[in-house]
Amino acid sequence: MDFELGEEDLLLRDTVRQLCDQRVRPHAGELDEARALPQSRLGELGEMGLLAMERPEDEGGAGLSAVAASALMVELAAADASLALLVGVHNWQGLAHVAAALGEPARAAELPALTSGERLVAWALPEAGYATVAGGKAECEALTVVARREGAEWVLDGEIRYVPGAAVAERLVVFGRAEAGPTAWLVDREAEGVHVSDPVRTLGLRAAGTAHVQLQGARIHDGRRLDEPGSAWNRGRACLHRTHLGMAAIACGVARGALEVATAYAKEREQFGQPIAGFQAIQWKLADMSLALDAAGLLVTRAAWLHDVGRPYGLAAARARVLATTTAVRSTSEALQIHGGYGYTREFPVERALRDARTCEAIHGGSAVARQLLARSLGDRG
Amino acid sequence: MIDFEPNETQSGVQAQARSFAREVLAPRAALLDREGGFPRDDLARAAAAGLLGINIPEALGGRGAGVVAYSLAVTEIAKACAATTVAVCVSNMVAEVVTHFGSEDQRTGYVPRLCRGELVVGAFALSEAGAGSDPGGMRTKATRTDRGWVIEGSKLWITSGTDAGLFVVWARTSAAPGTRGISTFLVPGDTPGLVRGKPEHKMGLCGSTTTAIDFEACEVGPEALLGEEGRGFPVAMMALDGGRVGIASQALGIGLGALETATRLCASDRRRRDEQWVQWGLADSATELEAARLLTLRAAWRKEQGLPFSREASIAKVFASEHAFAACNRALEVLGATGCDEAVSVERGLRDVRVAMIYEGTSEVQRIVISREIMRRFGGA
Repeated sequence: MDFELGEEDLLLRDTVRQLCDQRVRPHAGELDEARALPQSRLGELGEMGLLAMERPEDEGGAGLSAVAASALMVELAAADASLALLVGVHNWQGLAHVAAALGEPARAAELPALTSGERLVAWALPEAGYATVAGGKAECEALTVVARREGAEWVLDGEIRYVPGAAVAERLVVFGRAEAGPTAWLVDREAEGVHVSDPVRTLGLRAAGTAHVQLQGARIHDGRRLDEPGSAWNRGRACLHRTHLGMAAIACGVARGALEVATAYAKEREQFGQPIAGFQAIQWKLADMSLALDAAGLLVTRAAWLHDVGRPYGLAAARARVLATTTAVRSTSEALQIHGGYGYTREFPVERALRDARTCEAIHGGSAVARQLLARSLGDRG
Repeated sequence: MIDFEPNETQSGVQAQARSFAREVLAPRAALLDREGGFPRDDLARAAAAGLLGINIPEALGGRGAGVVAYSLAVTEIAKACAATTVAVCVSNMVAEVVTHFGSEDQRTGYVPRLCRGELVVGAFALSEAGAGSDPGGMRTKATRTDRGWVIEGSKLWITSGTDAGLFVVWARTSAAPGTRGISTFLVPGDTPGLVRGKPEHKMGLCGSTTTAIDFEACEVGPEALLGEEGRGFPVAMMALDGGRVGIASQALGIGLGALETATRLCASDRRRRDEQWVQWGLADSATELEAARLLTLRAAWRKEQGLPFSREASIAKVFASEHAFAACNRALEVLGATGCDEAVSVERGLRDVRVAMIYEGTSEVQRIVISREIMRRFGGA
């Protein structure tokens, strides 16, 4: 048993932390305010390999373990949760799915630009679909896109709402209902019949480019189909488990950021003739925040470790997601409370942290999907 | 005798507030949130509807409808637009404070104009950068001159600071430490030396302005003093106690608005409607908000009866604000990504309600008030 990261991973984490301190955190507020997409940051992250963290090095990825990747996501999310979500969506949903399921020759043509991060790929699954993926039945009811086969092509019609990253991604993994059941395709957002809306104005994660994807008679070549028709949920489930783990790491990052700024503020702000950190009510808030963060962080690392040693980790990831997102919402709200009126203004980062935490909890089907997964497993092992 | 039904006057004010909220405020609440600014025209309409002097005697231009009616009205308008509500609440309280502590000239000079909306709205200037939960840390000074007073200092977090026509200002008039030596002044918004700051950029209540107000050698006459010299702190406490009833009522309205929207959207979506966790979440919100409603109305009723209500107001405020925040959180949980979309009003509710746990005394301050009171009552010592 060992609770420390390896030396190389520690070094990389420190490098990412430094990058976040210098280049990411100082701009996070402006990007949130402008609801702008952090395009220039993405280039830098791509160069560092953060847009293909767990892809093998011989394919141009960083070859990191999930444990290391989670540590990096915590750093990134503590600085800018929107950016972290974009990185997560690309890594664990789009890229993971495409790398595993796209057949040649399309794979060889598409993968390099996705691995280098030159292009992002988002996962266009309807919100209700997340529950279905988790449920394990090959049902199509949640799917809002209908696909019909015409020769070597598929014709896709329908709309998928609230797709994180869709406004910035050049590729989309689109889930639809084919005759054989749930099926996924890699779709070029510039293709005819594909329309991506302007970014949706959201509560939080405002710079993550959440948008609606509309398909109107979009013709997709069969060579861009992912896995066999009707089998999209199998691959989807693997990506969902990794997504739960990723969202948990992001939530831990948001909670850690909130704890750090709240602690610093409590030591500095004086009322009744002393720093408010001297009051028990504030001390206990900070103590509870650090306690919950510690527990959530360990759940994340344990799930990541299970993943890395090749054992089932879906339930561990679901547990991590539920506790970490709950912790993030509570801790950011407490951090805002500690800041008093100042915390309610955009001058301080805590109101953004609360909005981001709340949004983290709600998206990708919400932590209800993770809870349901856990509830169903009771009685099973693991 | 116990009676949970509002009387005719109370129902009348509530119904009027509800139709004002639905017809005037609701249609533009999202736009106001998005574009910011100050809803001056709508506040004039609120004044015309009698909503700026609900608990003010008719002789002074108010509705004379009492505190319960005030609370009911505030909840109704907060369901539609929390930002407009906060300006309405503060203006009502300014009118009450002047009515309660003012001289005959001050009452007749200001209160009818506040009720009619001629002063746009009233505002309180109590907090400072270093004096939030602790008003004893106040530094703003008023120095006596042969023509009256000169006020010097900086105030912060002034609701309606951009547009208010009358400010109730607290300043030190002697070197006595802590909360002693503080006096209250009525300062018209156009007084030279009263400098309005730029609106704060906030998480929510974006259609309500919150500014700093600087007093730079701001001269006022002797008639500006409200109540007795050096007795300003009790005035602030009375304003805050009454203010807490208003904030509890406002938070309740925001929570009810979120619950109603979430329930409506879930009811029309089988996927959500059939989930037990959704049903239970909505049930919990309904239960908690019902309790908040009773606590709030009980505090309002005690104030109306002239009974001590400080503890009850604190309990109502801390409970209503925290559970209204929880109700907004649940609304977002059950709606998922849809709830996070600005086009659905619950995310605005969450942003708007969050400050209810902070302003007019933080939840921490309410707990201090409550625990002091129960220690005194039940502590035995």
